[in-house]
Amino acid sequence: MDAAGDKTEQQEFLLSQYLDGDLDEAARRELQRQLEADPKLAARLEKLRQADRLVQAWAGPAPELDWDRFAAEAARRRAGYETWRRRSRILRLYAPLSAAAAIALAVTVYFVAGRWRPAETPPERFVSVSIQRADAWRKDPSLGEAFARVSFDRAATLGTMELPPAAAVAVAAAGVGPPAAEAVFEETAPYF
Amino acid sequence: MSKQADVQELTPDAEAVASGLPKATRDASLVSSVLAGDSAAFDQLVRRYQRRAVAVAYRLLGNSHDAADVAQDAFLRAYRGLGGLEDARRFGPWLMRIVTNLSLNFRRSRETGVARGAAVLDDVVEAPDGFRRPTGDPRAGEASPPDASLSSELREAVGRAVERLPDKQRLALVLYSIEGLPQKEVAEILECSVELVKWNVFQARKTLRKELDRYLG
Repeated sequence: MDAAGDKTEQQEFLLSQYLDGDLDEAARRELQRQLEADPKLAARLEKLRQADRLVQAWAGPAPELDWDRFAAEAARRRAGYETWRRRSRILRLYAPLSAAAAIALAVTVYFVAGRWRPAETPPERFVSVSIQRADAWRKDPSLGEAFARVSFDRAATLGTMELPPAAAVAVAAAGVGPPAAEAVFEETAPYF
Repeated sequence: MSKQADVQELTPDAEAVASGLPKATRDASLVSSVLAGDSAAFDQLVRRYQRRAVAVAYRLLGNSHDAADVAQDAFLRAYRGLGGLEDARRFGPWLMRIVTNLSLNFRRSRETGVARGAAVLDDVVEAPDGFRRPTGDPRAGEASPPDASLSSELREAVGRAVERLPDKQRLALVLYSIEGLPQKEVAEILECSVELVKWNVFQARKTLRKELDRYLG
């Protein structure tokens, strides 16, 4: 902007301040003197004033709402926020405690479960049944309910088999078995 | 200059006068009460500033529906951020700063087509007539009839000219020339010097004078 432009800009700024009543007494008087002497300057002032009025006319009055309802809505939103904040605070307060409790519970469960064993059943025993002759099975009352392993001494013939004791006893009682074999029930070490 | 703001603030001012305290001091007292746990004191602040908040938002957004929504949002944000207000006596300018910032953000989002959903807006306003206006046309939600002395062509021309102003100039024009707030308060709201407010108002006027020259005598 050249010097003339600067001067015009400054003058117009003064006009704007004059419109707003912002000039001190001396500046206001000086500008009034210039306005009286310079019709173009006066015309610029008038246009600024008109532009200002146009904007105000365009803007119109501010909206009129139901202010009671507006305030009530603001209070409702604020109450909603307060509720949320209280809940958040509780959550913030209890979240670490809840987390600690959860961890403690998990640790407890881990240890309890780790040490827990199912109720122990009597050690299963197997009985080695050597069948030396097939014509005789012997019952061994010490078998109880334990599983019995019936092994046949003549491995080449039948090998070893496991039978529930009742079945083994039944087999023995029925005299079923390889011919010329003799079953010998021998209690051995627990199965496990 | 418009004296609308004076009229709008008549009741709160009268209240302040009746309490025997300057308005800013009364604000500070209410803010202290809110911070001390009396959230109902905030209702008084809402009642004191709701007209101005909606009016400023309305000037920047062009319809009362959006303006009411933004003003509600501003009050809630003010409530949430009240603890961060350094000088409780400056509640008014601080609130208006929130209103203007939210309004500008809203304008930008509207311009980029990311306007908030109608559901959100409807949530605000089960309400008075002025609230329920279509938002497509910037002036469509106008609660008050436009000045009949302006032709529609002139209204559009002024509207376009104002819309094209840079944000700072438009804000200065709205707050000072239209809403009639004191320059000092405008400066506080815009966080700038009084001189800069004067300069921005002047620049806005100069632009408008040029843009509207053919309509001026």
